[in-house]
Amino acid sequence: MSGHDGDITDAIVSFDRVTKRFSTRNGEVLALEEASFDVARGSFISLVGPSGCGKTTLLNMAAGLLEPTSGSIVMDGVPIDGPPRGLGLVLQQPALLEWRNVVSNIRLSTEIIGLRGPEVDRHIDELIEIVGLQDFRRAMPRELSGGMQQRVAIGRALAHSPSLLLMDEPFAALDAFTREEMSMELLRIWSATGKTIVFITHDIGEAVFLSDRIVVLAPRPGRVREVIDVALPRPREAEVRFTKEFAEYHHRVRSLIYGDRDRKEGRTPHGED
Amino acid sequence: MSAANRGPRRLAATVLPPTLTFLGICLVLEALARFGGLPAYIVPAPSAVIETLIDRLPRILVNSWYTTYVTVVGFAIAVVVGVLLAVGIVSWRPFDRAVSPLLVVAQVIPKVAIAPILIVYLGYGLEPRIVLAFLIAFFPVVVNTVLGLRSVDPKLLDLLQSLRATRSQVLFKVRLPNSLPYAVSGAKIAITLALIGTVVGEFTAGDFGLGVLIQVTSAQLDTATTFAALIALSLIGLITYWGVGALGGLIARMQGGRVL
Ligand SMILES: Nc1ncnc2c1ncn2[C@@H]1O[C@H](COP(=O)(O)OP(=O)(O)OP(=O)(O)O)[C@@H](O)[C@H]1O
Ligand SMILES: [Mg+2]
Repeated sequence: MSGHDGDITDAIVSFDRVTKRFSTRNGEVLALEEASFDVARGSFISLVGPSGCGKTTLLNMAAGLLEPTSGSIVMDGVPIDGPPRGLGLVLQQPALLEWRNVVSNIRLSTEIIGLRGPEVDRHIDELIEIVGLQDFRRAMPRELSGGMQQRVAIGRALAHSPSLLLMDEPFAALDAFTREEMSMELLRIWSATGKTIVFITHDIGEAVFLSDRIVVLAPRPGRVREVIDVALPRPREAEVRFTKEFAEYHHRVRSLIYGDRDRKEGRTPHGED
Repeated sequence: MSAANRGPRRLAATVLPPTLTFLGICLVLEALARFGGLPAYIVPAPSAVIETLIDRLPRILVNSWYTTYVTVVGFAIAVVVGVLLAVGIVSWRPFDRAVSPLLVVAQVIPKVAIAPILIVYLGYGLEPRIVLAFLIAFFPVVVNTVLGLRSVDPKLLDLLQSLRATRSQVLFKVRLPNSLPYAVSGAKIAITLALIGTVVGEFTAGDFGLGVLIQVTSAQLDTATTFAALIALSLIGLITYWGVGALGGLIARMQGGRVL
């Protein structure tokens, strides 16, 4: 393992042999088998792995939206029972209210929690700048591109200042440039507010750049392949991507994902999902 | 095609064909009445109908007022009750189980068949007619609104759940706004049905209303007045239908949403 001491005393979420089966018309699907790992309070953790390996399932269980078939998820020392307080969620699809404009879509989470007042308004204004939609405050979702819609969803997930942020491929619909910009912003928010972030991505470089810990998953059945602690120094600037250490982490995660597939299907890797 | 002449051109394309068809039918009728040897109590000449319409305008207007009033009041009650029933059905399982089958029964009973009973209960005033208009109109409002309340993106419900939203927050912030375009299209069907219910009520019993006028004049073989009343009825149907559509569009725009 890496130089990180890996000894987590203060886990905000612990997965302990979490298994999830779905019953479908075509029989049972084993979406996730005995997944175990910890998420340290205030850490940034990424879940990576090929399509269908159970990342979204894992995230939805952490959000209290799905119950594990067996195993336990403990949050703040108690087994979770429904969505925890102070949760921000970015789903794989934007899921916006199509009859509300950008500002009032972002406002939704504060309305549900019952937050209002000038400070909330100021915070929402700030977030709109952060997600780069200051020129689209009054635009309706149907007038936005897919990437812009996803940025609204990110704003909404941050609006009520959650302490735990669960993000399912939040940058998937963004172009490479906006994506890098947004990940720098996310890092800035994370280090300024001490949130815990669980982040799903298909981009290995992004995972290495952002994370304290990377959980590599393998498919069919979905399971934890390996948990890697990333000991790159913080704060991380864009330049860290060009260091030898970064390349080593990148290579390691990559071979965990593709090595498996190459062996199975007997071909060379050619891209990501 | 420039934007400037697209509007008028589209209007012409939608209005002209039915108008021309209608005028053609009128011409044929006029010819039949003048040269076909058919008596005026079977086919009144369109020109005679128009003449009657102008002659009897006050009488037709008074009766139109009653018909419109009953239709609109019955329709309004149908929308309010229909939406409330839909909310109840979607929010509360036992209510759904207890009420939904009865709604279907209420819908399949021919409304003409219950008109006499309503008169026994409610007398000869406007009330039985309003109830009849309501009874015939509320069903499509319920069915469409239920569909709209249920067809919320499940991801959105997940998101609300992750914020620990209450059931009433889900209802008011997501389900009801989502159901608006569905409810509006239900209401557009309802307004046309309410008019039918009103006329059925007027046929069964009544003092004023176009249905009454039609019955009385056709019994007297005053077919020209009957046709004039039919024209008034069609106009009421068209105007109320457009009115509901326009109102629905207005509410949808205020809400920032879309129209089905
Ligand atoms: N509601 C469900 N019913 C049945 N099977 C499901 C359900 N949700 C997920 N699955 C199955 O569980 C497995 C894991 O799905 P999941 O969505 O967690 O994958 P993922 O890692 O998020 O994939 P992707 O990267 O494509 O988003 C898949 O095989 C999927 O078919
Ligand atoms: Mg997924």
